[in-house]
Parts: sequence; structure tokens; C-alpha cells
Amino acid sequence: MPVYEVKSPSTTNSTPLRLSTTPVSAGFPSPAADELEDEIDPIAWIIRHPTSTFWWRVEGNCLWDVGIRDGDLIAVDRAGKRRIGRAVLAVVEGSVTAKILRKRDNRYFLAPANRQEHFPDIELTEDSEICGVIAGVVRRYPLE
Amino acid sequence: MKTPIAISDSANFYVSAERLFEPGLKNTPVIVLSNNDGCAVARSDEAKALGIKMGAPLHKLKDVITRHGVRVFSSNYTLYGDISRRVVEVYEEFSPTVEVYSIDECFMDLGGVKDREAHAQEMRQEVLRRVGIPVRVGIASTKTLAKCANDIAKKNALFDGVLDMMD
Repeated sequence: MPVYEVKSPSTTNSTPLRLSTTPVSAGFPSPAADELEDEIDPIAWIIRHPTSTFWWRVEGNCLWDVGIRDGDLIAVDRAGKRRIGRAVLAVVEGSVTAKILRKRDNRYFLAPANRQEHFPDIELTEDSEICGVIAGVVRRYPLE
Repeated sequence: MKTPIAISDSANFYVSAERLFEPGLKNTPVIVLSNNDGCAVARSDEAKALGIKMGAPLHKLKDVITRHGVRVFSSNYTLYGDISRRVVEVYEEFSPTVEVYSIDECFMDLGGVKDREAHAQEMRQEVLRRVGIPVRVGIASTKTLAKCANDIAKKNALFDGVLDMMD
């Protein structure tokens, strides 16, 4: 399951504060006026560490069972903690791949999560490197 | 005593930035071209070892590129600007005064830091861990001397990326 960089780096550090658009009149105040909150920014919600989070595009379905599909955008946090069971981005023999970090018999593996298709486990060796933990996934669907 | 000034700069910055998204190019010779792909403006250590000079025009490099499988990138300033901003964000956690000097160089005030070398090493490790960019630090009492210290650290591996010339 190779992944590719997202061409324009996405950054979100300012959440614009939405101002009330209804002018204050001398009549009745809008009952919704008190309920206006900051604009919701799901990207900012995904990104816990803006400095160390990079976006990649997924190709392939080897992480289908954990909700990551072909064409999805994934946020990868280089500072994320590498815990067993987490989805990680790794470099294996020079190519970038997204897999689940597993441990068996004191050895670490990069494992797929797809019961429909078979993908082999890859043992983590000196030649492979985990470059970050997947912090979130973004997908969109066709509308036309 | 004078205030210690540090300058931190990235090794082959544009190449390091391109390698973030193609980690497989770690030991491959890589060059980045100027606007309109005119000449080489950044070279990896492997490319330097092949004798590719700074500013060498692309048409004169055709031979060496084919012979040694040099990876050639057009410059992507949107990417370099984004990576530069992230590196500065890490620097700002290590000094209250960070002055951006160029896309890959910052001066910073290290006044009040007890163990400057350890501080600078920790900063290097944090930039590498969080952004993935290798940097080197030179420390001295003036900006000019700091720049010299940085240059010496760059050329001598024994300094491990940090040279403090305050003493």
C-alpha cells in the first residue's frame, strides 16, 4: 500500500471566529445569537501537533478494516507515540507504506488490516523505519 | 560576558525537504534546480561527491546524471517554505529570540542557557524527530563568529553538528 505526498501542504492554525451576521435591532434579539460558537475545523481537530504533522495520500486497501481506503488522505504525526496496534507510516526498502504495528515473539511487524485480501506481514528490521503515527483520515465522496 | 548567539542552519535544505516525502532517496545523489530548471541550487552530499558544483547548469550535468542515477527535482518553494516554518517553530521552543535570516538559517539568543552544547544538541534532535530535517548549530559572541562556528561544525563530523566558540 504505497502512499503519496499531498502536493500542497495543509496547515490550519487559525480557527476564524464566526461573527454574528444579524444586525442588532431594537426589537427582539435572535434566540440563536447566544449559540454561535467558533467555526468547527475538523482538520485542526485531527492535527494535535502542527509542526510534526504531514499529509499523505493512500493507495491500496491494506488498512481497509481500520477504515483507511484507497484515495484517502491521512495525517501522519512524526511525534506520535509508536504503540502496538497503531496505524503507522513506515519506510521499507525505500518505499513508503501504511501498516499496523504488531509485536510477536519479541519481534516487531508491519501488518495489514484487511480480511478480504491477503497482504504479507513485514518484519521491522534495521533497514526499515517508522516515520510517524497516523493521526487521522479524511475522505470525500462524489456528489455528481 | 557577551550574550551567546547561535545560528542554526539545515544541511542541503531543499534536498532534505524533498527527501521527507521520498525517504527512499536517503543515499541517492539528489539535486534541486533553480527556477525554470536552469541550474543546480541544492546538492545532496552524494551529489557533491560526484563533483556537481553549486550553480552548475543542468545541460552540463546530463552526463553525470545518467551515469550515476542522480535524482533531479524542480524547486518547490511552497514545500520549502512550509518546512522552514516548522523548523522555526521548534527553534522558538529553545530560544525566546529567534531571528529568521534565510529560508534555512536562524539566529537565536542563547543567553542564560547553562549548558549551551547540550541545549543545541537537544534542539537538533527535536527538529530531526518532529520535522525530519537535519540541522547544525554554531555558537559565538557575534553573528559573524557564530556563522564561522557553524561552518566549522558543518565541515568536521567530530563536532557532531554543534560548535560552541564562546569560551
